Amino acid sequence: MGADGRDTIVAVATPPGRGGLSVLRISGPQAFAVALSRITRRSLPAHGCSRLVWLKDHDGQRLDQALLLVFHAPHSYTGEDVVEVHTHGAPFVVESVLKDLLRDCAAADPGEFTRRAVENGRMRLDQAEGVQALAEASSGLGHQLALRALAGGTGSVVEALRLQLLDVLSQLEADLDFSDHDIEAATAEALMPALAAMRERVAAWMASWHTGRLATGAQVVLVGAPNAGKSTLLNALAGQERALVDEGPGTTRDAIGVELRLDEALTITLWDTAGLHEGAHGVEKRGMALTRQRVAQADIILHLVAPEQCPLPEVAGDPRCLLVFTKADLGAHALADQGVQLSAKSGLGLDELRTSLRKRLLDDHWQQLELVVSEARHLDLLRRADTALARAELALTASHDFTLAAADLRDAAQALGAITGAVDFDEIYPRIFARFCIGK
Amino acid sequence: MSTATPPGSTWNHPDPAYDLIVIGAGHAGIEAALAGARMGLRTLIITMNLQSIGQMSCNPAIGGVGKGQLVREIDALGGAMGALADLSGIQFRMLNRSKGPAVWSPRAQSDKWAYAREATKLLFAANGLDVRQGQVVDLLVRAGRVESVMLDNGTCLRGHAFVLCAGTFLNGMTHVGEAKMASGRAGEAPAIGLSQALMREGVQIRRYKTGTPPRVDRHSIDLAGLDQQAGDEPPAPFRFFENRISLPQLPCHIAWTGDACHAILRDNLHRSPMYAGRIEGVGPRYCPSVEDKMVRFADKDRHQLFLEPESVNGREMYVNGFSTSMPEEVQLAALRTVAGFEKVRFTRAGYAIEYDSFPAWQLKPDLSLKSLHNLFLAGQINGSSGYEEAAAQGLLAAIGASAFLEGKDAWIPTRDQAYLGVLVDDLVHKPLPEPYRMFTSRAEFRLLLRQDNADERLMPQARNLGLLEEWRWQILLQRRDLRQRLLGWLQDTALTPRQVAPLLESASSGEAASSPCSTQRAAIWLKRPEINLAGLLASAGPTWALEADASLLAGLEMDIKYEGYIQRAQREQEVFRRNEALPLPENLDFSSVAGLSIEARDRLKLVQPGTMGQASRVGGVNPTDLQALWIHLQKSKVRAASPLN
Repeated sequence: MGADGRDTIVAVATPPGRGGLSVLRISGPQAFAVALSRITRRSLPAHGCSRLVWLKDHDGQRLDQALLLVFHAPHSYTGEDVVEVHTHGAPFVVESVLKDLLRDCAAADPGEFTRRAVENGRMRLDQAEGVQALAEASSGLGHQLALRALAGGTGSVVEALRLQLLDVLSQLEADLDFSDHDIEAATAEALMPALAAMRERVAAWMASWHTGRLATGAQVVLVGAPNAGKSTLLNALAGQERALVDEGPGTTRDAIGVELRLDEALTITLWDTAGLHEGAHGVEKRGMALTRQRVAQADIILHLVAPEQCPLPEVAGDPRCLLVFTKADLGAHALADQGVQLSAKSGLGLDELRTSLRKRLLDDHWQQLELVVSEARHLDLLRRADTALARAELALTASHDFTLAAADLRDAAQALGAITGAVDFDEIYPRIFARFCIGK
Repeated sequence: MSTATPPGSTWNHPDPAYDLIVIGAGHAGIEAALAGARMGLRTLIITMNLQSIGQMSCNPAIGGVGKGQLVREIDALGGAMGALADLSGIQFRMLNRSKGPAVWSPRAQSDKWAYAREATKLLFAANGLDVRQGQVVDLLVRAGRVESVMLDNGTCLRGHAFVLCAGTFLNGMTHVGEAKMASGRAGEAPAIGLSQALMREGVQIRRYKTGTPPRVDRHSIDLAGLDQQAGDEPPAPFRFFENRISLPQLPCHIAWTGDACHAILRDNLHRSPMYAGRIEGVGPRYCPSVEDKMVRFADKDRHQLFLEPESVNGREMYVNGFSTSMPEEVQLAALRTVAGFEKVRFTRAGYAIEYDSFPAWQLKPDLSLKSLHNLFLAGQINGSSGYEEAAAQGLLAAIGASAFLEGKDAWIPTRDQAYLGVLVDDLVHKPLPEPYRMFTSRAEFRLLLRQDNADERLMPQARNLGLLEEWRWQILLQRRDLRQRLLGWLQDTALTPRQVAPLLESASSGEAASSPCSTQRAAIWLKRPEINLAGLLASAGPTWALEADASLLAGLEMDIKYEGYIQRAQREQEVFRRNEALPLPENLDFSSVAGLSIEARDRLKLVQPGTMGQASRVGGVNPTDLQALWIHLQKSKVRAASPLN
């Protein structure tokens, strides 16, 4: 533990397995001392510079030839002294180096480097979430949104609105605390347009969740009566046999999920499910219950209907439903113009299906949105802010009580602040004093 | 024993030591002395001048937004300020009436001579309280405790606990233009020596400044040409359960500055001691001088002035809004450009005053000095401004001193209990860049801390402390009972739309209120914005409800109408209380806490907060710092619980 009571931590930053090279990261007050004790040279490279060195273990045995990269606090990822050690990529070498470093450092907890970065003020909470999202990005959309978040895009947009909100709040507070002074009185009429505009923005952000939640992949569920061709379609879209297919109905009993890339932007998880029909029992019935669970969580329901079948009313009426008429090679379905015609056998309609899916899921205008909410935590906080803003409007227009409106605006500001991690109400006074000539 | 400047031989007074010695008889000192005596302490109050007890050095008014709430709380705790304001009140107004009950704030103009006279009478009438004149020039300290105070004639007075309320008198320096004078208030000598005594004990000092406008001769003003502002009719008293308002009620007058006035002030800015750099003290932003307004709000083409009578029969008037330390000739020339003031004559010129104050992080929340346990500081010397803030501290200091003498923990009001709690917590923990005054927005539990319910919030405590008269306690019990019955009636009584129809109609202005549909309980009807409790009771209530007065109804109505808000506030209160209940170890070494930012560490070391909640307010401490502190506490708990340790 260092002089300020903080551990120096180490972890392998690259994924496990054999690669060209691996990176170990050391962060904390003892980072430089530890690194110096493992090399023959007397000094470390300067800030931001690298040097090729022979790496020894604690007892002086050579371990590897490695590249050291040095960052001085606070100008590092974590805000602490950081040394990166680039070793050769053999798992045995990496493990040996790590084991040796752990004699003088603590093992980092998952996410601890980023947590320290937030704690040391190197990034905000929303940016840290961006780091996490970037590490997990599995689609073009996820990638783009994570980059936005990491660059601070989410935070700065939300923060800008929070500051606007504090501005309105400071007008209200000035009116409450300095009503006996010669300041322009705040009126509900004057404040309402600002409130309405803020609510509109929050509403747009909440609506963007429709896109943002797809960052981690869309849930697409194949639903239909037994033997509608669900598993066949799954395999056709996946480009390989992932589900067992049989001429007889009821082959699929539990829900099978396959993650696949729909196009550059989107990843989907495609769920094959047990067919829905009357009179099922036993295992089959339990399978159908699973199907209904999947359907509840779906972004899109692909309802497959074979030529001899009718659409199932419980699915067809759902706004998320896309009708797919299968086995088109056997003849057109009577309702064919209401959906996509498909023959997994000939490949007919597969591209059309992909295009329809993509259109239904992702509006290409998302790039023009100022904010796309892709964290469930943010959505919750935005909902809280929205409810509070709605109450504030009511307090201003119906009960004409500024103290209630102020309480609501504080609540809303707190919710927005929680997105970036900012919560400080002593910000209100400077705003009041900057705006109004206070003082009799 | 250490003394700075023993002026000749020191003569120890033959009488036994007092329990409590209060230094200063301004608004803080008065409350401290009266409360001390009422709690059974043998108390002495020392003032530099027996003729100037309870002076209103600035505005001849008590209360206002945020401050009025403090006065109601002081009254509920058995303090004197509410009664003094009622006895001397010549105009009463409930401010913020249109803004929601949580911020209704009582304010009264006072006859300043009547106020001082009543305060003097009260001190001399109190049992167990001695009053004497003298200037305290030194403190005699032994073993970390003040043993006695020395007067300027060398006399020493012994005490077990002390409350220092020196106002603006410590090394006071007044400025009028280029002229500066050592002075504690216009025309009165400053207190020299005490600051040095405290500095000798390691107490840190900071200079603050404040200012006051000129007083003018009523006969020199054309009052008929000015707009009038009258008080409320009938006037509502500050004091709970007793109406002692008896003086004739007077209006105030309103005037406006204009271009000519501004031009004169602007042309002479270089002669203002503030702008010429002759004042180093920090002044309050919320109370800028008129020359300050010229600089900071240059685009405003006029500023409002209130002309307030300083007494019923006297000729002096206070020009509220024209605080200034310009040379007198500039003050006069500028004011003579104002309509109605063309022939104005001054009775006193405006001035600024610089004085010593002691940054309050040096105090514990009971207002005792961390370094001198039996010395309590109250009022303006702690960096506050205003009579009400001072009086509140005087009362709390006496409560703290009494507990100290009994060897008990003092009762300290909390932020969710009273504005008094907000005041003392802010003073002791937050960084104060300027003299502190109360605002309602400083109270995060504003919806719960209302002037109408200060009695319910604080009288039980006052009774425990021995500060509340028995008859007032009895009235509180009766009111509680009535309130309970009213609440029961509201919750149990079903009213048909026809029964409440008159209320809906009389309220709806043109646009029809959303049409009432079915029979509902009275409490539900009351939640509609257009229905108020008084109207509801008048049209459908039981006859016994007539006993309830307006303030009881207002409180009850608020609690029902805004139930959702109150509940949310109460939930926040829970969170707040949890944090307040998380104690930090007394001698916690903040350097050993991992993950604290440097700024947070420095503030925490300086202020040494006692709980997590207090730590969150010391300034410069952000949520990640609190998290680090919390983790540290958990780790030490684990260590403490480990048998190996």
